[in-house]
Amino acid sequence: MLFYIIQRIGLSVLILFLVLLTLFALIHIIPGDPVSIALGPRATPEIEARFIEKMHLDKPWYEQFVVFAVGALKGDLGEDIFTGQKVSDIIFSQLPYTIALALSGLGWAVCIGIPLGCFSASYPNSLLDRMLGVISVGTIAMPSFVVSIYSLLIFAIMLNWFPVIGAGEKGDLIDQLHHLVLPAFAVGLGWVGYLARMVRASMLEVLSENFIRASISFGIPRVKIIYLYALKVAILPTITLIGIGFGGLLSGAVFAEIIFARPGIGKLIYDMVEARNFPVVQGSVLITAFMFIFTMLVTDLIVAYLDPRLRKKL
Amino acid sequence: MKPILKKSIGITAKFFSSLKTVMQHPMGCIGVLLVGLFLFSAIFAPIISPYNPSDFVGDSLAGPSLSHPIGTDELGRDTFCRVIYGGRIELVLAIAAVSISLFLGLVLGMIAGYGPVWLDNCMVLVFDTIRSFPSIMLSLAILALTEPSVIIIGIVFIINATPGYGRIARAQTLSLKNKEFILAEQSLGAKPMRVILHHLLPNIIGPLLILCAMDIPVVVTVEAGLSFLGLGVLPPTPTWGTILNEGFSVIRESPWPVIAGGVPLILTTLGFTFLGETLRDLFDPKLKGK
Amino acid sequence: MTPDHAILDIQNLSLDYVSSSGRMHALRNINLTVPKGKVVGIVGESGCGKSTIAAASMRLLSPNAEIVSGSIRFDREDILSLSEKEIRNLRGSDMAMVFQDPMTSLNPVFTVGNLMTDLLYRRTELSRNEKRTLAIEMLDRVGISDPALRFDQYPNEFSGGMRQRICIAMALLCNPRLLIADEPTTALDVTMAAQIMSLLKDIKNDFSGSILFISHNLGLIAEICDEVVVMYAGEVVERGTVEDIFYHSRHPYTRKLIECDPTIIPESDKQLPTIKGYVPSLQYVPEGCIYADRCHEVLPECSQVHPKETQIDGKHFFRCLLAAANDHVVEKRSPGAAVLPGTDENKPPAAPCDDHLLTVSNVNVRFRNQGVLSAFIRRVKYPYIDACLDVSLTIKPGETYGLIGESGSGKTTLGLAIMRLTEFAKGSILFDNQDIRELDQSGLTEFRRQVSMMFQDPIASLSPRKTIIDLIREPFDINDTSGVDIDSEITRLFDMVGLSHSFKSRYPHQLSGGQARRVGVARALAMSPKLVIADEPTAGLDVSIQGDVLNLMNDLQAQLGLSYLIISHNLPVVRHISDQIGIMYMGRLVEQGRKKDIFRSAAHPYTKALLEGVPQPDPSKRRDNLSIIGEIPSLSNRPPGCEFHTRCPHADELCRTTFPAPNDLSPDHTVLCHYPL
Repeated sequence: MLFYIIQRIGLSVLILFLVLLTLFALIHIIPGDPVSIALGPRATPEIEARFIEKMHLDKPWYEQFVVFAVGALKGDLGEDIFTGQKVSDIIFSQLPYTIALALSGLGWAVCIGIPLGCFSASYPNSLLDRMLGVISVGTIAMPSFVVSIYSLLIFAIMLNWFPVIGAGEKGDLIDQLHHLVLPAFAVGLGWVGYLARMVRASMLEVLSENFIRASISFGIPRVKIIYLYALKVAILPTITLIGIGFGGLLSGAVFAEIIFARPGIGKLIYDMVEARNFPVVQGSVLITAFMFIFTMLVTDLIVAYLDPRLRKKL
Repeated sequence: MKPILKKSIGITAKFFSSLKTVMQHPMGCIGVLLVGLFLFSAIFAPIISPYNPSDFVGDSLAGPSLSHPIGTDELGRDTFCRVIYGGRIELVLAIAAVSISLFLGLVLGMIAGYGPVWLDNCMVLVFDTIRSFPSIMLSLAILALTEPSVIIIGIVFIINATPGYGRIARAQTLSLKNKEFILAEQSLGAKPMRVILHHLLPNIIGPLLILCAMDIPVVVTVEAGLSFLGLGVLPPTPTWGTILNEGFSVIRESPWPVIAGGVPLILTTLGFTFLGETLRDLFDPKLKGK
Repeated sequence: MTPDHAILDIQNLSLDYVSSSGRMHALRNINLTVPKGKVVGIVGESGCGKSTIAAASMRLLSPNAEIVSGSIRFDREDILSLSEKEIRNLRGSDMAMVFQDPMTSLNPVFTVGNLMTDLLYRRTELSRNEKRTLAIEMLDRVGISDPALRFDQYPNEFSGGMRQRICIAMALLCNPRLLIADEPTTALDVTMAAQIMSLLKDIKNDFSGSILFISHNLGLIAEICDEVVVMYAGEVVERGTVEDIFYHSRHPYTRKLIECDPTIIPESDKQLPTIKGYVPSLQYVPEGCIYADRCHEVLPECSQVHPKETQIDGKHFFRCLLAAANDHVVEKRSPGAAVLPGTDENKPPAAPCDDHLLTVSNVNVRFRNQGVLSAFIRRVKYPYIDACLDVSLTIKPGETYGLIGESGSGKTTLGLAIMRLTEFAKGSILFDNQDIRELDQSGLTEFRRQVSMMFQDPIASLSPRKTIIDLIREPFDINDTSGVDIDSEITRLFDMVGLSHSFKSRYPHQLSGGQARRVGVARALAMSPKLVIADEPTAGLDVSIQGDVLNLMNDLQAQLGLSYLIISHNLPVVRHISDQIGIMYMGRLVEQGRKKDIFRSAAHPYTKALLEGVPQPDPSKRRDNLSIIGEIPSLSNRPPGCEFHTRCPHADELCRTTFPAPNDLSPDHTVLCHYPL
């Protein structure tokens, strides 16, 4: 087990290193002069000179990379070329909004999706199961940014139930929650269907296993078999999937932030892409990739801890 | 000539019998109808649409009427025509991007699965690295450095999707390569190329093709999403993303352009997802949940 | 027998499985009683409905099963009309079941103790500690050592045999009145199965309830049952006491089934008995006797009249027109007719010939079980497991070598190494005096033209998306066959293996195991090889078909002068066809010799255990003690000294410390043991 943890962390570090390398290489891979690619037409010669100096573009590439990587590991993500602010400061002021949005979207999806999946699996092919199946495929099929636009149109503009833009007054929790409802709904909706289907599929697989048949033959009550004996096995692949799906969740959050004009990493990156401010984009992408890698690491470790088959083998 | 003819008749018959099986399921039936509608309107766009999509033919932001079934946009162009022509671009883009990703993923995945262990480890590491960028973030990082265009959207999709195909192709190859029938072929003296082309490929391609069907709407969504952000296809080219983009700026004045851009996107996604799910349930029950 | 004394009483039960492709009449007019305190066995080939009866008795049927008529009574209560709650109250506490595959019958994410104490949920008067004590006592009872310690372990920490013991413990925990054992030893190795059977016999003696024992193996049935029910294609064809069935059977199917059991076929028979044809489809059940098509004593009226159940001597029933009409008892079998072990040498030894076709010397095959990095960090000096260790054997032209071993003994790995499908670390393999390691790609193709291999699973070893004709054509496409009329060759192969030409455009999954096996034989022989390696040629086939395949292989050997290397876990099956036999244990050949050496004077205790581990279809030959106990040690942690000492009844200090040198008892007979028997 200890070896597995070390190995898994080692792999994450290796991937993080490759992610750094990729982000660093991006401006060099894309054909053209790195400076004009990264800064666009807005740049003046002074800004270009500062960019070259800050990014050490006059040095050989490996030296540039070492400076970049060491800085990143120390938490120094460079400087915003246009304003001179520290990139890490900009990012960390926005990060809490995105995390709040992602977690609340995921949270309501988990609370609804997993029980729905269990319920469907315990009455397979019933009318209700089929209806839930169609609805969940439907919610998965709806692109999250379209859900955002439509919920904005219906609930904010037409019905006027929720505010249209922003994240609410600082310090006013009720107002902030009020602003959070629609974006969280839009981010989580696809996940409700996704989780329900995943849990249903993996529950059905587990329920057809021999050990479930054996439990039935021992007269164990049905509710206990479904919600304890089967769910404890079926939840394992679902946890892994939540980890893998976290990236998709962030994508949904980016669109929700832009459409609802909420502060957050997504909005930040979008604005900086529009403004051609590459160092900030680079830093934000690095931070989200780091979050994603960390989430996958944590879910893998949780699964390994919960599954005795893995726990003993490792 | 004759055997080819016979074979193509056989394939056509097989296609229609599979279609019939799919149509027997309600979800599959809806899927086939929606996908058919998408293909039909995209292919016959010039015949169906009453106007040229870039002509100013009506009032600004008019609601639905007999002459403009879903209204007009800010500049007075017929939204219906723009949606139909938009579908054309989506279709071409989706087919090109998905086939290139499939090809790349299949080749890389099979090399990883069949080749030496060190190569496999390297490829998996590369796949995992690309996958550990949240897809939208990597796309935005690339777009931050490039000029928006249809080609870039295709490339962005290919970069994001290829590792997925590669992983599945690799996993399938790995699980098949020690199966008895592969050993049996080798024991008959079959050379590696023959084993790969005749015995591995036919068993790997099926599930991947189903995945392709389900990825076509993903391309459409990526296009629409990025164009909506103004980072993909730029106006005045009509695509569903640009329609949404232009519509979102006037969402308080008229909901119709936004609805017109979103509904076909949802219907297409639903169609391909329903079709893909049905195919998967029918032909590959084991892949469920991947 | 009045039903009053029956714990389980099934009357006139008919059951269908309904699917989109039609209705399968899986059970038809089944009558069966399990008296209190008795062991009743159900025997029959795969698909005859044995397990469906077990499932129906506990109402564990799959949702597409539909009961057409009849009743199932458990201690006078009608099982079929109980409510869901009432049947649940019976399950576990009054009737319990042991399933076939112990590896998948225990929930992997709960500890054994947790699973067991959960079963006692009805006994609310017990405290947690009392439940724990009860469960630990039961684990001890079924032979789990250190039960208190192992109580808190998860199922994956137990071997297959141990898990089956746990399943039995769970079934007995609530002291049920009926125990249903559905093929409880089929998934286990020979020596493990013998231990589980011994446990079941032990339980039978001090268990007050009844046992319904289901098996396809007549030997196991003879060993434990008081009464026997013989099933064929969804019908009970004969039932009676164990003596009635094994000594006075009246139904031709029962008699033929006993005759086909490999353990009782005299060794002089090179031609094995079989039952012709295949089990009929249960979708369209014929009007007459279900067995008429395959019966060797069929009467003209058999195909029109469905035989009624006829009763003779109290408990003995059968469904057969011929036996009902003939009052005389047909050829009474006498107790003790079985012939294993013991042999009569019939075939003159193969023509003296010193040329060896295949020479395997000191071959080691190892697999890495830890990566470079992980081995380094954990300081594992030898990150491999040895699948084969110092294996040497020779095969002469026209000879058959039978390689026997339990799962994990390395027998299949050796076969793959000979085909060069897996690399070997040490030693050499010579085929026709050519070292196969030195072959280049074209030499390898030529080599594999002369040596071919048949794999264990007949269906899974055929490429699933090719038609049968494509599969049989494949060897011709691979090899250079200019000047050969391929179409006529294919026709010849179809005829040679007795495969109907109507199969040409089918796919592998549409064939039965026996048919797919014939396709495998045709592919293996297409290029007229000199040596055929056959891995478990009879695995997964019913006894009535096993003989078919072995007879075919035997005939082809006589016609074509082939050599065979036959790999099997089952000694009796290869007995008739082999000239030499080698026994593998943990990757080593522990004994090899000519057939008579092995069967008449087995020298290694393990060989003896394998011979004795085979149950015989004769109630008078029940085994009463076990020759070996314990489990095969892990390959990654080999015992010091003689590797068999952990299970050997004769082991002493020398065996525990010193590895035995090969001991030549005669020029042909070698054994790896300090004290050959």
